[in-house]
Amino acid sequence: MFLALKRVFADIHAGVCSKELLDLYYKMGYTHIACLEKHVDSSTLSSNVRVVIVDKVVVNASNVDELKDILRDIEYRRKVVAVHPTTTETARWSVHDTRIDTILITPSNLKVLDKKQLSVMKYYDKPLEVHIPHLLYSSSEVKSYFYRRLNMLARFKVGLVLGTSTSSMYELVHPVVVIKAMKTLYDLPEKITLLALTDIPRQIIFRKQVTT
Amino acid sequence: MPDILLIAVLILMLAITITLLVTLLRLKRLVNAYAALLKAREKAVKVKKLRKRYVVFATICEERVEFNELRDAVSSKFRELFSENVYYKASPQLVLFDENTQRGVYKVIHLYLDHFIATLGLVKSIGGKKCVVVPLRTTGTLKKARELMRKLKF
Repeated sequence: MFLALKRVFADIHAGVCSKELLDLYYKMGYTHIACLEKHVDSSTLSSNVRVVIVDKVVVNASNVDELKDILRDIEYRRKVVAVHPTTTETARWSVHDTRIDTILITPSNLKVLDKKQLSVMKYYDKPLEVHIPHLLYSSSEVKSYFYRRLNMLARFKVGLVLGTSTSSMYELVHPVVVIKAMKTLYDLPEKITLLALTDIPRQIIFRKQVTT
Repeated sequence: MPDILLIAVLILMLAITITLLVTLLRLKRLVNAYAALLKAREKAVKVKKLRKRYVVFATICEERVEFNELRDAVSSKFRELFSENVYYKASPQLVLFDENTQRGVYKVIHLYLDHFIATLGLVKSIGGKKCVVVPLRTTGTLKKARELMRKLKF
């Protein structure tokens, strides 16, 4: 079953991309990765490892003007842009901007994500980004928040993307494990998690002018 | 006089009919309830057979990991995530572990396979060593699991 799922996964948020980490990524079935920090050149990778790597930027914004200023300087055609809004106003505004690829939700800005935000996100077809360590290693209070928000998201049929947020080899989680964990711990249907790890992040990475 | 008698007989017959009708309705309800009870009992008696599943896995660690260390790490992680109750129902058992290739086979009840795979992948430390555990394949027989343990490439 697991072998059949090989080479279809994409990671929207990798902390550091080193050579050994990319090897492991490829072995686990990832082919498209958005990296915060690239410590490797695609030319130095062995010919067996065919991984598409793009740059990733996370923008922390507390007001709209600040966000506009930051977005002006970002090379959004080549980089995956995720916005981490800390206010509701910024969250609402960032949904309809086409330069922004995803809206990042972490334990610090969970309250930004309400029903209205989700319906706006559905209207503009903007996916929600969540990092797997936040789902797995947070306090039970944060997990319960995530549980309610993710189930609401599934009901609203808003796109979800999951990032591993990996910076070392031993932090990486196998995608099948993520699917099973989301099913058993968060009651999220396997289909939604599978889309969050394959199709939706791949589309976002494809949109950028990728270099292999 | 015969008129009064006739009326009395008629009233009596009406009363008997009503009583009969009420009794019949009650009887029907009783029969339905009994049938439902029988159906429910039949359903309750059907217990799913517990089947075994064998999960072939590989570990990637800083240093070599031993059988006991791995077993303890997985069982404690399972208890942490899904509590003691689910742990004894799933009853995961480390059947095989090759310390040279760092691969092994776990046996688990099929109803809790998803819980087990989630646990296995979330084990990040075994005996104080940093690790990644990768579930490779699930099979229904130990013979096939043994074969896959040798053959599968990762």
